[in-house]
Amino acid sequence: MSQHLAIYAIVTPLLAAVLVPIVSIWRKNWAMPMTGLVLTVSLVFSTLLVPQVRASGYLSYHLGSWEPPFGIELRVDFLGVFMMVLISAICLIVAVYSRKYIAPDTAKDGKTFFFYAEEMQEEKRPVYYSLLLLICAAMLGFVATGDIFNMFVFFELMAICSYALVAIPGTRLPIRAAIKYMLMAVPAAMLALLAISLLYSVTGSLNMADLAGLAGSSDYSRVITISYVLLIVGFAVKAAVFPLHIWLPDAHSKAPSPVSALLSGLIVKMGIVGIIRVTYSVYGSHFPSPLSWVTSVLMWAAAVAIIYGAIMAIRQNDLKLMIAYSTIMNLGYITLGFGLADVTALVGGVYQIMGHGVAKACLFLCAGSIISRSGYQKIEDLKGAYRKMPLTCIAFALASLSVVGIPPTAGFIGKWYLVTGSLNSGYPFLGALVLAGSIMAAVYCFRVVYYMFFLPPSGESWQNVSGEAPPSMAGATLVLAIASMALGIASSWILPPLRDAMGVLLAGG
Amino acid sequence: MKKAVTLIFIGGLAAALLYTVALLPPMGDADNPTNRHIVPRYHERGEEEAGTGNLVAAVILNYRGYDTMVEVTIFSAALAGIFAVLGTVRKRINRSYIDRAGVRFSFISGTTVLLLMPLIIVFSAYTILYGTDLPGGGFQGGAAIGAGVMISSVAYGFHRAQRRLSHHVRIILESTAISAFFVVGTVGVIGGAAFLTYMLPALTPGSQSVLRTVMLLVLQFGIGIKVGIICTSILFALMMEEDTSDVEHAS
Amino acid sequence: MWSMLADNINYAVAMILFCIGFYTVIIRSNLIKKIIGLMIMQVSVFFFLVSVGYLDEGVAPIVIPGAAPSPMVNPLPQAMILTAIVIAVSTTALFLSLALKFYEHHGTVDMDRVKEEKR
Repeated sequence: MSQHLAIYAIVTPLLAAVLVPIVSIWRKNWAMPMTGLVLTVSLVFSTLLVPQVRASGYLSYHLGSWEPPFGIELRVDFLGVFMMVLISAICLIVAVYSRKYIAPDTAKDGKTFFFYAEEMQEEKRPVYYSLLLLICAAMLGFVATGDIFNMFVFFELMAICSYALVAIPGTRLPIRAAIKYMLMAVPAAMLALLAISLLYSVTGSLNMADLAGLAGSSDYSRVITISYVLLIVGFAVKAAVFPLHIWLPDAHSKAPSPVSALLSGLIVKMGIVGIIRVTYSVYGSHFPSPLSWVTSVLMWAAAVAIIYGAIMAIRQNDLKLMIAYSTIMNLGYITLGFGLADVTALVGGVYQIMGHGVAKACLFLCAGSIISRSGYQKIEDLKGAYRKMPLTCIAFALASLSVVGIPPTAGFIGKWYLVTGSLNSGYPFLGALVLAGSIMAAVYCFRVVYYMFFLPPSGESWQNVSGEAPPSMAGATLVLAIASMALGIASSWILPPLRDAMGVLLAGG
Repeated sequence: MKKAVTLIFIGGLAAALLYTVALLPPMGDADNPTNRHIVPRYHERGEEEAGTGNLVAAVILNYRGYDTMVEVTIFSAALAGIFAVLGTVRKRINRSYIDRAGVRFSFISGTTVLLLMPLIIVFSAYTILYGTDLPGGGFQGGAAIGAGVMISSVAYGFHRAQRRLSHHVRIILESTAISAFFVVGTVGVIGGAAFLTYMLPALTPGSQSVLRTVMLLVLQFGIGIKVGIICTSILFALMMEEDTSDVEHAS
Repeated sequence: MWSMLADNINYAVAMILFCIGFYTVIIRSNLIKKIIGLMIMQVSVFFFLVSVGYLDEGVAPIVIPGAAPSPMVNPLPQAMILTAIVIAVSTTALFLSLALKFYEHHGTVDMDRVKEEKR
C-alpha cells in the first residue's frame, strides 16, 4: 500500500472535486468538511512519502505498469515531496479559513459588512470548494510527475482553476483582472505546448529522464535550445518574472482573499518550480555552456523585479495591492536563487519558496480577515486595528518578520543562503541588493504594523467593528504565522536533505 | 506605435520559429527520431498489450491513461469555472436570447432536427462503443451528442431542452468519467500492480482480456457521457440570461 | 535552407499561423477577436503536432485483423492532440463566459472603450 501513496494523494482530491457538488445538492453544509477531510488525507500521504524519498533519493511509480518511456511515470524526488507537503498544508489551511470567509454569519449586533461582494452567493460555494480541490490536485500532480506532457496537462488544470477562482466574485473588477490574467497566461501556455512539441519532434520521447539523455546527444541541439527558451518564457509568465509580471497586481488584489493567498503563496511558485525542473531534469546535460545566458538573463530580471516590487509596494495605499507587489519582490528573490546557478543560492531560493509561501498566505489571510470584518482596504484606515483584532494583527506582524527576513524566521534563512550564494558566484552586488530589498520590505511592512499597533484609530472608524475574526479564520492565520517562525527554527532538519537534493539536481541528476 | 512594436516582436518570433522549423528532420521520414523511439512498440505490440485495435485509443486509454484522466478533469473544471463566473442556472428562469428571438419555431428546422436526432444519437453511441476497434472513441461520440443537443435546442427552444435534463441530473452524470477512472484504476491496485493497470493477475489469461475489454468499454462510455453532458451544460449556461442584469448600454 | 523549409512546409505554415494568432491577440481590442486569435494559436500548434506524426505512405493506426501489414502513422502525437484539444476547448469556454460577464457589466465587448476603473 505504501507505494501507492503518491498517486492517491493526487487522485483523491480529483475525485472529491466532482463529488462535492453532488453532495451539496442534498447537504449544503458538508462541502467544507469534505474538502477539509480530503485535503488532510493528501497531506498525510505526502508527509508519509518523506521518509521514503529520504531513504532512496527518489521514488518512481509506473502508471499502468508500463515501463517508462512507454507509459507515464511519477517521479518524486526531494524537491517534489517538499513541495507536496507544502502545497497540501497551505491548501488545507486556506480551506479551513474559507469556511467562514465566504459564508459569514452576521455578528450578534448585526454590524458586519463586506465590500467587493466577498461573500459569495450561496450557489457558488460548492463550486468554490470544488475548484479548491482541483487546484490542489493539479499542483500536487505538477510537482510529482516525470513526464513532460503530463506536467503540461497539470499546468493547464492549475491555470484554468486559477482563472475561475480569480473571477469567482463576478463583479466588475475581478472579471477584468481575470481577463487580463487569461490574456497573458493562455498564449504563454501555448508557447509552452509549442516548445514541448518541438522537443518531441527531435527526440521522440516525452519522459523527462529519457529526454535528459537524448537531449544531450542529439544532432538537433539548436532546436533544443530554442525549445528550451520558449518553454522558459511560457513558465516565466506564470512565475511573474520581471517584464511579464503585469497581470499579477490586478489578479492578486482583486481576487477574494483566500484565493489571493493561494495564488501568491503557491501558484506563482509553480512557475519557478517548473523552470527549475525543466532546466535541471530535462536540459541538464546541456548546461552550462550553451544555455547559461538564460540563467544570466533571469538573474538580472530578478534583480530588477526586487527593486521594482519593493518601490511599488512602498507607494501603495491599498493593502492587498501592497502585498501583491511584495509578491513580485519575493519572486525576484526566488528567481535570483535559480539564476545564480550555485548550489547555495538554489537552496536559498527553494527555502524561500517555502518560507515566503507560508508568510504571504498568512498576510493575505490576515488582510482578508480585516477586510471582511471592517470593510477597510486602505492602509491608512488600519490605524488602531490592534484594539479590535489583536490576533490577526499579531499574525500579520509575525508574517512580516518573515518577509523582511529577521532571524529566526524562515525568510531569514532563505535570504542568508541567497546572499552567500551570490558571494560564491562572484556577484557581491546582488548580495547587497538582497539586503537592500530587506530594508525596503521593512519599510512597507513595518509601516502597516506601526499603524495597526501603535496609532490610535482615526475618528470613529473602528467603532462599528464587532471584534476579532471567527476562530477558524483567526486560527488559520495564527497557524501560518507560527509556521513561518517554526520553519526557520527547524531549518537544521530541513536544510541538509535539501542541500543534497539541489546538489544532485545541479550535477544533472 | 503599439502596432509597430508588436509587428517587430511578432516578426522576430516568426523568424525564429521558421528558422527552427527549417532545422527539423524532414516530415514523414521513416528515420525520424519520433518514428524510431517509442512508436515501434506501439505499432507491433499495441493490439495485444493494450487490447484495442485502434492504436490511438490504446495510447489514450492504456499507455497514457493518466493524461486522459486529468484531461477529462480539466473539462469538468471548465464547467465548474463557468458556473463560478456565471452562477449556476438552477434558479434561472428559462429566458434565453434564442427563446425570445424574433424568429419563431420554424417548420423546416424543426422537422430536420426531428429526423436527424435519432440518427445522431445512434451514431454517437456507435462511435463511443466501437471506439476501441474502429476510429472513434469517447470524445468524438460525446462531442457529437453535444452537437445534437445544441441543434435541437436551437430548433425547439432552450426551455424544453432544459426541462428534460435538469441541473441536478447533469451534475450527477458529469461525475461518471472521473469516478470510472478512479474505480478502474483502483482495481489494478487491488490486484497488486500500479494504479490504472487493467488486469488482475489472479484471473486466468482468457478472463483477463475480457476484464480488460470491459474496463476499456466502461471508460469509453464514461468519457462519452461526460463529454456530452458537459458540452450541453456549457451551452445552457452560456445561453441563459440573468434576470437582473446591470447592463449600461454604450451610447 | 530554403529547400529544408519547403520539405517541412506544414511546419512553416503552422508557425506562420501561430504568429498571426499571437498578433491578433495583442492588437485587436475586441474581446471576441482576441479569443479567435487564441483559437488560431491553439489550432496551429495542433497542426504542427499532427504533422510531426506523419509518415510517408502511412495509413491510419488501426489494426484490422486480416489486412496486409503496412506502415502506420505515429499514434502518439494524435493522442497528445486529443488531450490538447480538450484543454483548448475548456480554456475557450471559460474565456467566453468571462467575455459574457464583461458584456453584462459594460454593455460592450470592446476593451478600449471601457474607461479606466471607477471604484
